[in-house]
Amino acid sequence: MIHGLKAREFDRLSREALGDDIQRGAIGKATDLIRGRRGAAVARLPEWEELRERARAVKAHTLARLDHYLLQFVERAEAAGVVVHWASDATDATEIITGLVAEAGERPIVKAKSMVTEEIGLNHALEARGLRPVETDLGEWIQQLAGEPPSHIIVPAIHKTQAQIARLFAEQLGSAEDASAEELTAIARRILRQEFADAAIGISGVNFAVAETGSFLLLENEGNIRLTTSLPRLHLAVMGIEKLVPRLSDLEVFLRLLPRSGTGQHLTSYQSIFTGPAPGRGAAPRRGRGGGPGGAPPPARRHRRRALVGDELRRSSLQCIRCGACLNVCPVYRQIGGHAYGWVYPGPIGAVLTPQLAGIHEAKALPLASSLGGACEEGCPVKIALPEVLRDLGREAGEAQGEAPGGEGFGCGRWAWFMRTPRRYRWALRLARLGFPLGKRLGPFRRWAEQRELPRPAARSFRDQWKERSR
Amino acid sequence: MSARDSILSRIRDGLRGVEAPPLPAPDPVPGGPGELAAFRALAESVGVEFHDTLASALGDARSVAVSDAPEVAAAVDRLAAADGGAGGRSFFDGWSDRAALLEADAGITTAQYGVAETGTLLLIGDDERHRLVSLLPPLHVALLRRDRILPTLGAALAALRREDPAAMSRVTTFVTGPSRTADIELQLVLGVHGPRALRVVLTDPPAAANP
Ligand code: SF4
Repeated sequence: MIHGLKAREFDRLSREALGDDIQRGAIGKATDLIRGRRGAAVARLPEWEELRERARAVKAHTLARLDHYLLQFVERAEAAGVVVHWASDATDATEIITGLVAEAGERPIVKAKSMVTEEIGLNHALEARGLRPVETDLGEWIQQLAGEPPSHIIVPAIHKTQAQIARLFAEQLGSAEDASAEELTAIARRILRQEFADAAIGISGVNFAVAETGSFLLLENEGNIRLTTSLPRLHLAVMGIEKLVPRLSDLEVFLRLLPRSGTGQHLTSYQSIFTGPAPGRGAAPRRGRGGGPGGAPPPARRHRRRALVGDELRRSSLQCIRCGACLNVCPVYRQIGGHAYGWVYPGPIGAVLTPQLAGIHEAKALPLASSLGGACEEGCPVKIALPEVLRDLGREAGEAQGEAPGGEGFGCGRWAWFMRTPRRYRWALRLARLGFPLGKRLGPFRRWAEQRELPRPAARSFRDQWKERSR
Repeated sequence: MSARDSILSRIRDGLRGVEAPPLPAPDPVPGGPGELAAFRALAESVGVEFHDTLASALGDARSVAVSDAPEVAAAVDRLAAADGGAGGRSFFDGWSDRAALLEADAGITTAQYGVAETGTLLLIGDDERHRLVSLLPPLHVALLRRDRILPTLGAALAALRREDPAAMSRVTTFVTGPSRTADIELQLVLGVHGPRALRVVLTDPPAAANP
């Protein structure tokens, strides 16, 4: 069972999301900003396309020899003193981790943002055992306070306005209703500092793992990953098997691509590279002492990653470095936000990963609800052919639906969904007028349009004209 | 079958008959030092301040944590001598007193290298106890030798690499500017978890400092 999976309810969730004007406004504004920053950062790097090709090639090679590099990584990491646990699925992973951290008791378990721990439903599993995971990335902490999952890979609370966050803090923490971003951040710092000081265990993800040295790298801006991995005595890193690169030098291309793609920075504030348990450099020496498990990345290969390995096109989904760029350019994500996708990964990469990791039956609507305009592929720093994978999954979804692949029935059903209320109809038409040929841009309409020339919307819609005439 | 074996065998099943595309040859690492001016410009672009003296970098910080680097101790001694005292400041070993470190106004460390391409400081954990001293106080002052500028991130990675992984520094931190967040409506706020300010004092290599 996959915790929190709601992708089957995509229709209802996206319908609800479309009705949330505040969320749409917040996401539109934020994604515009990030896109602008990313564009500027990329323009300053003339070799951008070469870097993308190199990154793609490194990942494609590594994934095609995944067994080799995985073993090499584990051997070298163990030689450096890391304790490695293998988890064959999400349940396995959460059980191993809850076993390792059970000693925390009442003490906080500080967590640095990690998509893979979202995937395996780690917080839920820890809470079910009476343990207390505390998210420490500001955006994730806001989401935890709100009792919601993150809605963007890089900016977890992207859908919330400052005013909403101030109200949330006021309700939960008793701060001022009109606190500024600066004040809200200071409140978070103060509260989380205490959690860090008390924490028994720190849990992080892994951005990149280096096979030749057994090292792994984490990137961030806030410093919460540095705190999570240095203050508690035990550092637990949860890693997906696809995070590998062969050589330490391969990190360079990803360090140049990921921050620019994610936030438009030339580099995030901090990168930490770990090779074995850290020495007792802090005031209270931690890992590697007292006989407890050392710094331990359990390669938690959960769900169906292994099934993805065989097919070349599908395998390319595993190249993803979780930069969020494809979300920021996706017209569908912009309208419906992250939660409507019904699981951990939203946007084009969510539409690609969820059906593959959770099973097509769990997420039939996702591949069809994505832009196929190609902006996501153009922006992807590791050149995943997102539209092509989506088309492939769309065919599979069509078959799973018990009809001819991509048959008219499905497309029309989706079209009807957009026609159901005047507001959505207006939205669809507005998109069409803005130069989004519906049949090409929006997955749901594509099949339908291929078979029936979609009526080209007039410069002013019939609806508008009708409104005028009936005056 | 153990989880390890079943995972590996399923990956191998999936990859049977798959021919791996070639791994691109590594980019050549530029030799020679990086440009100090470029380092400085990039670092300043993300809010790093450069100060000529330790005293000016510390500003009005009173309780100051230090790392265990001899260069830091020497700089603090020189400061005390010049001020005819420590100027009302108190210095303590940040790495051995965590409770005090949590309350400190500033932390002084060295950085093992600077990276010109990105304005980044490299803190190599096996060389100095600077991990928490550079992280917990609201101000981090880093001493960096002018002759320790590497040109690119690739050169930085090459400087860290050892044939024997057990010989690599167990933790290395790349620092590019102060701690920052943009999680609330993408507004930039500094000092969310780590230091709000990062100040660099460039120092001369020992030979030049003690002729
Ligand atoms: S699919 Fe590409 S663009 Fe999207 S998050 Fe992954 S790496 Fe980034």
